[in-house]
Amino acid sequence: MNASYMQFLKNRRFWLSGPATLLVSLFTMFAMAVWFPPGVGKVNNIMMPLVMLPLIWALLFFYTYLTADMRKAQWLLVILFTINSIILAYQFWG
Amino acid sequence: MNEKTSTIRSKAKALLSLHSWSGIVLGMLLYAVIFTGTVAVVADEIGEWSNSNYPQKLLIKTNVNETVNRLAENTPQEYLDEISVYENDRQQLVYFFHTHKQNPSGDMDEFGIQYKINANGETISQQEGFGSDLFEQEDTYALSRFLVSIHTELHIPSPWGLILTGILGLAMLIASVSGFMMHRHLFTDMFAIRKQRDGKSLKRDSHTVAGTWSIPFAILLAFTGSFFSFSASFGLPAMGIVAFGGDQEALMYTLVGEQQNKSEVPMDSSNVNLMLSDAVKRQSSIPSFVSISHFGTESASLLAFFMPNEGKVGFEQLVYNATNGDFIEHKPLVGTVPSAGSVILSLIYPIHFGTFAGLFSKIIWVALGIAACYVTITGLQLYAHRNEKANSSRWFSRMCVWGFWGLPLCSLSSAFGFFISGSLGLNQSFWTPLTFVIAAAIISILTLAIKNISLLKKVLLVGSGLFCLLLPILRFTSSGVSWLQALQHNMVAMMFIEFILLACSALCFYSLYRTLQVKNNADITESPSLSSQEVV
Amino acid sequence: MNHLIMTLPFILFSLIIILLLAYTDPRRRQIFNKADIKGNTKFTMRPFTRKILAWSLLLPIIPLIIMANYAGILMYSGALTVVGWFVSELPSSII
Repeated sequence: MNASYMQFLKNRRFWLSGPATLLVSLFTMFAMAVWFPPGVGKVNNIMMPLVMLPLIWALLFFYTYLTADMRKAQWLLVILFTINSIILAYQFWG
Repeated sequence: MNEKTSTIRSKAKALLSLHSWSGIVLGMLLYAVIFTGTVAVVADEIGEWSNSNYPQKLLIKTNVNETVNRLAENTPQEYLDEISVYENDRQQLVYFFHTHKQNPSGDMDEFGIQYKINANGETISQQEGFGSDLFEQEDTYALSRFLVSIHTELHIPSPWGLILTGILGLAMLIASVSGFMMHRHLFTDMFAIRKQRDGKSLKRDSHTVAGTWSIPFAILLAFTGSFFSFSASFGLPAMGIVAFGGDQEALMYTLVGEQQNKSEVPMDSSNVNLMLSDAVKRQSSIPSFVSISHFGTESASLLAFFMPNEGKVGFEQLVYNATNGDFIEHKPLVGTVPSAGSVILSLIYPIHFGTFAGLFSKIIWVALGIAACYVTITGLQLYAHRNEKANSSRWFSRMCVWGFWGLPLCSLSSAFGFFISGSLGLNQSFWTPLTFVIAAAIISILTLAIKNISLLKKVLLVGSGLFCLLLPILRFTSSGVSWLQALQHNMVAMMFIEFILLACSALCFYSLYRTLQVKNNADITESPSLSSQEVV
Repeated sequence: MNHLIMTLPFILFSLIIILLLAYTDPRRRQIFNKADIKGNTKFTMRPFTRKILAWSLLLPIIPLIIMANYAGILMYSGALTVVGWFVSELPSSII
């Protein structure tokens, strides 16, 4: 009986909607602080990523959870992760 | 066509699975957050009630200018960086002379000397330390602070408690959205609650109808709640690392909208009383707190913070040039000038807290909280009812009763602890949480000892009803402030809480009466009492 | 206080509309008929009328904006959802 509860760890969708979505959402938020224009108050690039985090996560989560095409979802996450990693790498080491 | 139907059906199935599992695994913790959130809406009223107090308007009735200058003379220079002044619930003005630095936990904090001055201008106490520690030890707010901290971080040390409540907020978000997506006849079923044979509402419909009506605000509250939790725990520090290369101070100054290195050239500051009275005239209300920066230098400024004005939803911050007393501007919540970020933040606070229009908005937000609690309770009970057999130990139903009825009783017990420890002269900040834990332990033992679940529920109901009834009496005996005095001094907040407690007591006893009636009828008709088990 | 008092009529308006919608709700009627609960079945409303009534619940937002009563908009929205749930939970003897 115990084994069936751990079965979800083998499920590809779990990894996609769970840890992968979380990681990509976090990276998107961090990278947003770099490219989002600060605005007149000079705070938009801090506030907007923080406000958007639950929204970005929810959108990615529902998409990866409900989509029939898991490969497409996987590629979307990979592309988002790559772009945002490049932005962050540029910020720290560029 | 068939393929489309099967896709829709499998999506609905997937959503149901998501909705159910997120609810079952996190439901009880989520209930704790929602219930204490409902209570937290009236945290200020609870603060006034627990101290049998009402606002004394000390910021305009006492000579703040004289006190600030007198205390400044005897305070180390470094602590004159910022002076916070506010009225507590024990008819004292708190003056906190402080600077900003990182505390042992690594978070930006305030450090300095806190003075408590009574209405006659006499210094009652003087303490040095970090702002967060001083606030933790403040007995005045022991009860309200404790209940709020359960809501914001389940009373778990930072940042883990905040991360947990953030995750619970996301769980509430996916439960609301998945509930909305999978209910195909949302609008046709909005008013329809089917009845069981014994006349009681069908659990599934109770859950669906309450959930449907709650969806807009459930989504908003979950979203804004997660924002608060994640920003405070790791979001803001992360922004500091990415945007400011780890300089948390620079981040703070940008958010506050102030230059980092200001002139320290000494210059006498203008009369604080005049600036305060001007602010009061502009807003037609008393500020919640006042903050004087760089006192006694040429970059001195005063900020008066106000709750939203008539018809508005955003906080107001009035800034004055403290060298000559001139009014400068209405400062946005973040940044130097109004921006998209400051507008969004100024909307997030009223949507989540519901405190923007006094008791009026608070009553509505409490009602929203009750609806959300009901959705959580019926949801978990639905799972228990569907998946437990009558003869089994029914540990899930037992846990539901323990949690749903035990948490309010523990909260009431902590209020008991607050009053009794106060009367005995003990440390209220220590005893209030401890009474909660003692009550939780007793309730847990009862949950394991009482075999009959409906009897357990009755016991907890009686306990809650009794405590709600006794608390106003306890408050009166520990403070001596009667209802007559309350009416004389217009102590609205205190009377409001007393009224709610008495109403809850009446509800508990009425609910008990109905439960006993159902049982009596079941006994008389000698029909199988499975229906009474469903009722639990 | 003025702005708060101004919001109350709109909340009462929403209460009346929602009571009407609940009373004429076909699904609710169906359930009560099934349970043999007596009710006034003479007063019915066409689905189109009910839709208009439902959309009219959004109308108060216009005067609230004109009066710059933004607190009122938030409170009205919150009260709307609470009133809806409360009315749905009312027993058949009331509505």
